[in-house]
Amino acid sequence: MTGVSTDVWTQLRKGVVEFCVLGLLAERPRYGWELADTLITNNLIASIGTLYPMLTRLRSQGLVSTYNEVSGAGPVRKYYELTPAGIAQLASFRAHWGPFSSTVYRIVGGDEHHD
Amino acid sequence: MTESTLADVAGRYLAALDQALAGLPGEVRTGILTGVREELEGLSAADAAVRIRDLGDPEFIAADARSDTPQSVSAAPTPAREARWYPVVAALLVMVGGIVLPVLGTVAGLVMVWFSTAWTRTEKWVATLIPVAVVVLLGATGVVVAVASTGQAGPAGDGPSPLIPGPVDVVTLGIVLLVVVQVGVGIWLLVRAAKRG
Repeated sequence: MTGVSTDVWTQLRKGVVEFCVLGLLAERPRYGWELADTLITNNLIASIGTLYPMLTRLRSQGLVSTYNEVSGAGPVRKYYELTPAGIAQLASFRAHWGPFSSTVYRIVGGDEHHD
Repeated sequence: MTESTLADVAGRYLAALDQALAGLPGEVRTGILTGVREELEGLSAADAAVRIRDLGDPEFIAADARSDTPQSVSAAPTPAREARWYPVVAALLVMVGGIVLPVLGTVAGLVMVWFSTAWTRTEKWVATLIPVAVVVLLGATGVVVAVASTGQAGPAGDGPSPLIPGPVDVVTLGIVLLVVVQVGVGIWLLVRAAKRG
């Protein structure tokens, strides 16, 4: 097999998934399963086995906080939202990620000779 | 067929998940269990069953969590590496340590419980706070009884009313109650530890 090893993709995903969580929370506060569903659907995590420890870490780092809210006729849910530190962290990541991904794409992506 | 309640459905899943997560660092295990518990709370039994299916097999979740746990953390002392006797001794000290060596015996047991990886943080807090709550309750009762006894003593030197227990009775009852509570907490700790193997 000549493809890139699974480990590389795993490491890449691990490197960015926390920022994807911050990005999702920048759109609006979400509860745990909403985050899990989106991340699993997009193949960024395999299960909640990765998500909840990550949320615990982000909380302990002061990047996200939580509050409880009654959802319609449903149960009380714990919602996660960005803290000012989380917003700053995301802004910093965006500032670096844009140029970084452009550079990588310019070098290895968009090869007209393939596909 | 008997319909399952939310408590049945969620309880079974959480127990299986808890077991599958054995060996992971306490904060990882607690984070996952708390998160899942919160996801299931307030759902109907049917909705919870659907959500559980979406959450996935506990073994798969545990494997995913393990793959995400740094090697250095995995290499730290884990429940799998903890000697089997340790949680048993800790629970026994919580149970009867206070009888052998008042206060210090119980405190030693609780310190061992906190250092053990056999219990979740919540369980450790429960084991620690229940006796504290009992002592506070007994203290409050003792004060009330002391005040009541003083009030009952007549000006002519009559003794307190025999219907109201004296401070000594309250202390004796309190000690007995505390021993019973400690034995109960110890048994509960043993059961929780045994369930995780």
